[in-house]
Amino acid sequence: MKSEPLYLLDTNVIYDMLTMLTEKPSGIGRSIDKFLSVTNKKVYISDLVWTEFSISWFQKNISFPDYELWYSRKLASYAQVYQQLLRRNVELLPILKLSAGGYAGVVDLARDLAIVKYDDSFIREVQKNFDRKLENALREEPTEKNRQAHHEYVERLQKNYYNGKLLDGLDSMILASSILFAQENPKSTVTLVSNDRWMGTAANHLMLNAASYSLKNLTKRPFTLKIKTPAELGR
Amino acid sequence: MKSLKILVMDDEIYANDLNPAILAVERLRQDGHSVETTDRMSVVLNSLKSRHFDVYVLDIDMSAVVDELQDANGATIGKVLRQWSAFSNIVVFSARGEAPHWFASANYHFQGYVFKGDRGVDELSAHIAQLASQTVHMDFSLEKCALPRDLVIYRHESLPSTVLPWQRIRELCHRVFPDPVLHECTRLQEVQDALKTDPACVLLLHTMFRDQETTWADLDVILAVQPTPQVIIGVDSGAGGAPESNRGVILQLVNRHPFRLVDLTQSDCEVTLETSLAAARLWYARQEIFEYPTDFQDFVGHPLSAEDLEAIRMQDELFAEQEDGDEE
Repeated sequence: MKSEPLYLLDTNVIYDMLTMLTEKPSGIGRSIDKFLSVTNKKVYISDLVWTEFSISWFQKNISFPDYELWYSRKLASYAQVYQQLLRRNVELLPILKLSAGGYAGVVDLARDLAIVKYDDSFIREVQKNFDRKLENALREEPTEKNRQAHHEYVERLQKNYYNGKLLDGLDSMILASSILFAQENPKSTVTLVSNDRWMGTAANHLMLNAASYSLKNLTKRPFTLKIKTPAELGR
Repeated sequence: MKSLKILVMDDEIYANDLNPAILAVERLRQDGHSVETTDRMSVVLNSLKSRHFDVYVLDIDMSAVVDELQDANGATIGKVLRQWSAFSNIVVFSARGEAPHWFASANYHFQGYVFKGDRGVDELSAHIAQLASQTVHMDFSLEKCALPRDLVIYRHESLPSTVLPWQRIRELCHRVFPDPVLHECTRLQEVQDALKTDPACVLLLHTMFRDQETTWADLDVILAVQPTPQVIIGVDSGAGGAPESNRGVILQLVNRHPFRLVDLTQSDCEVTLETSLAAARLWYARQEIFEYPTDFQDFVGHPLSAEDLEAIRMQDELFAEQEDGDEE
């Protein structure tokens, strides 16, 4: 019998939680806030994700001319998202304490995931996916309001068609820690809540075909890990 | 000593006399700080969009100047600044504050409350010097603390039996803390001994503490344990007469920075006490961060930069388009 489902938050979701501070929260921000405010399930954020968010928040796009003002605003919004996580009972998952080897286990698996050579059929499928989305996007007539965003979206799809990303940055580490956490809780369905579709696509493919990729760490202990977007949580 | 960037808000700052606010600005500049001034509350709030100040020195009564902000005072502004960022440093410098302002200053963790009396300018200078020498510890750990079950409760016998009798206090504690172990004390010395149990919270209830060195020494020992545990103090602001007669003692308490200072004369003091206990439980071992001041959003503006918002918005648009695409 399955135990209570467990949830993990990805870094991009934390970004969207920040928009709840504004008059116009993002759709993802609203979805995740609604989920956190009503769920009685255990929701975790790994120290890896919290650190990645902290790094991306404070160490990128620094305004050198107005550093003190820039930093105080960054700190104010960072403190607010921290406050939201605490009030919503989101718990920290320290990857050092994962039973399957802790940090070393995560790094080992992340490296295996990172150097994977994907099947050509999968890469073609990903490319086809971009192509289909691009066709849909080009067919769509942008409104005055979303013209700029639409243009950027099309540009990004065109770029990704030739030069895409799958498990970049800390994605492999976050996926590896999620898998080890799921293995530690084999009776629970663990859901990684992420807005990164491409990470999700690659992760699902690798988990489904672990044996053919010789990803031994994925096959030696049973686990159930799903990757869902915040909007999919309610479905 | 570090030189601080200070904004002084006072409705008499541009008066043609040597009032305490003007003298204070001179003194702070002599101390080596960079000081700017305004007589408008709206200027302080709007400055959040474009300027950084290490410390805001705020007058309470701002009625001498017409401002676009209605029904506000220095305590309101300080509260909004603290809600906007838990790292805004606020020092009140005022002659006209009343009990609600004193309690608000404590409960929003203002760094100081200085009365514009004979020694006001010296005291303000000392407060700012202390801030200049401090380093701020920022704790953003999400790791859950193992919350102890012990609670230390002090209820002075001078409190009337109608005000928070022991049984009521026990009920409140049981409502907030699961299965607590209560250490009930009637002397501050007993509280100090009970601190050895590493309690989750300390609650001190008194009609009014006596302004004597031994009391302050005892309280200092107890308050020094914060934030593990947090210390909540409840006093009767009207004890022995008008609140004005207790101003000195209450401001001493404010400047000792309890986690909460509750006015037991208020009809809703039990509710306030319960929410204070709940807050102490949540912020046990951490610096308290207040919820964003949505009421004042028009004046303050959210702390996200335009670039941050644009990046998130783009991601959101992308996400929405993908969702549509997938559904097809």
